[in-house]
Amino acid sequence: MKILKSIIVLFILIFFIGCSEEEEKTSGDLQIGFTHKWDEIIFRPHTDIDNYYPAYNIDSLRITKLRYHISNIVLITEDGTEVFLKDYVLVSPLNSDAISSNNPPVDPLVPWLIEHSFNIPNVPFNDYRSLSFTFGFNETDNINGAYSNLNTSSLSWYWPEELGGGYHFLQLEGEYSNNSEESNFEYNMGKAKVSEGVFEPNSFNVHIYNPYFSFPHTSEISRTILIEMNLAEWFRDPTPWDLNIYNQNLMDNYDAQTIMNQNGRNVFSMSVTGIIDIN
Amino acid sequence: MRVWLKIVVIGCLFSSCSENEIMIPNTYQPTPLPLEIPPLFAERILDPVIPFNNPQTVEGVALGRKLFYDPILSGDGSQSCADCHSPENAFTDSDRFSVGIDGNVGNRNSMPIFNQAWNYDENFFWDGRSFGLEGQAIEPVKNPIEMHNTWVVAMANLQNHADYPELFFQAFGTSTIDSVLVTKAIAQFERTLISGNSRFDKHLLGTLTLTTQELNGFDIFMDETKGDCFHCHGNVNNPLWTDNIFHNNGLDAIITDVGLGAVTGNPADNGKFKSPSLRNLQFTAPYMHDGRFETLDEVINHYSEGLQNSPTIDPLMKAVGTGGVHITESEKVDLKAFLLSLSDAEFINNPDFQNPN
Repeated sequence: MKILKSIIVLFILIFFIGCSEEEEKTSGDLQIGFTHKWDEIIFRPHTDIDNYYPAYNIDSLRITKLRYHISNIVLITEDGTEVFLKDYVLVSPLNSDAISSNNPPVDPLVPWLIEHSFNIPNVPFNDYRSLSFTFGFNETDNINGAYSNLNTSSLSWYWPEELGGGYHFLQLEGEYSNNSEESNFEYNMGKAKVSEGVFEPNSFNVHIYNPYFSFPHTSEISRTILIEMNLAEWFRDPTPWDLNIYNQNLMDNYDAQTIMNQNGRNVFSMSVTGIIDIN
Repeated sequence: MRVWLKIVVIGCLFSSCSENEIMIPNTYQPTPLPLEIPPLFAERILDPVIPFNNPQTVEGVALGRKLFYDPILSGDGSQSCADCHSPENAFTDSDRFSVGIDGNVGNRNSMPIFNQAWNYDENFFWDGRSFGLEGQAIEPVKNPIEMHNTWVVAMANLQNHADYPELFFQAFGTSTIDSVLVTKAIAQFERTLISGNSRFDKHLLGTLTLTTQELNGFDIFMDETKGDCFHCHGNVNNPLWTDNIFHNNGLDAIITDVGLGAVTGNPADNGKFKSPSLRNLQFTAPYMHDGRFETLDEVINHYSEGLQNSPTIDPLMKAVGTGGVHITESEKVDLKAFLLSLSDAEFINNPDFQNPN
């Protein structure tokens, strides 16, 4: 009988210890998702591959390849404390593998339009005010061949040494139509070659302010940050992109790389799904 | 109560043991055989894909090699895998279309086989219709224009063979032969077919100096305004020399063989075929998914001035309106010299890959 009592006491202790751990939880899973649109039109990979979008000085364009990577992703609190989330992530929404790995979405509150997402465990609970990352790699991190998963064959992410080396930051490719004549374009971004042997890093920092992002949440549903790219901005602001001039062979074109850098600073915005605490 | 407690405790002990006890002890274990990974691969790209349920073993690879060269899998016992995938051709053949046991031909060129363990997406065939090397090996046996057999017959022939049941036991711990084990063995052998010792590899390793012509050719290969081959066919950090994905490379204005499009059902994929590796081009003619080009010169001419526009043509195809970028004759010669520097004679002559039968 004493043994039975001991077992019961043991179970009760385990039960209470389990409860107290949950009460003391100070961190949780955070999902980072990426979504893409052309102004108000949601860009749906695969099904929208034949969609044509209006752009400067041409009839229209369609996108057949979109890949990019961001690095040094951090959350920032109101007092400026930075919480490191991830060293880098490659977003490839038109890649069927990437889609299948996120389909269906793991989070029921994540809209279906997320094309690529990843999970960050153990993110400290706090009131965050902004998200920051580098588009591409900064000069220190953009090391030729250093990341074996970016060397992966299917990416073709290598940036030629003659152009400064390292990796592509963006591959945005497709077709444009002007005066009913169709041509291809390759909007490939990486290091900018100023002159022979002289290069500029060409990455840029993105800082997205969101005043209503509080983490923790009050339920077990994980929270998702949606990073949204407006593809139209690559072709618009501050410099209207003329596909009649800049369409192919742009990796070695300093002017084109500079415009990409400037226009790219306006492409990102952010929203948060899950239970949002409005302070 | 004490009696009941004892029963419960003893019961728990037995139930925890029973998981181990009901398992049939597998005393036989084949000998592990790690892949011999070339230094550039180990240094620069991700590890090869080896299914957890089909580890490489000495016995499995030996069995796969024997099966690969044995015509026993074909309907009339006349054709082996090696008939269309011979080592002297870097495991393809020299025909535009391979001939099956009934004298029939298809409409695709036989693909070379090497470095397949690094096909990370695991989509095989020109149109990517099979997943995994094991899955790929299922089809040729039953394809009516290839080996034209059934797996039931093939398995029975192997089961009744004097040697195979014992060889399967050595490889997999069972002498009961089925198609899964056959394809596992063949896949194990195919994963050992690794080519990583070309002149260009030696150049990267610092043990050989390339000719000026070869180096010029590499520059053209990497130059976005000239060859721009590297966006699909690798670079110094991707020593596979392929992206293993699917492109419409401007072969036809009117697409009759839709390739990947027939697999995905997506019209946007029509006319797309897998980029082959540029390794071993010296041995793998003819070229393209339909073997239409007999020489490398024809291939280079195609990309330089022979491109045909079509709705799904890859944006990487330059200056399609004028047929291509029109590199000079001298640049073509240099580019060809570089391409041939990716050939690996040691690979095709490796005694471990030859017919053991």
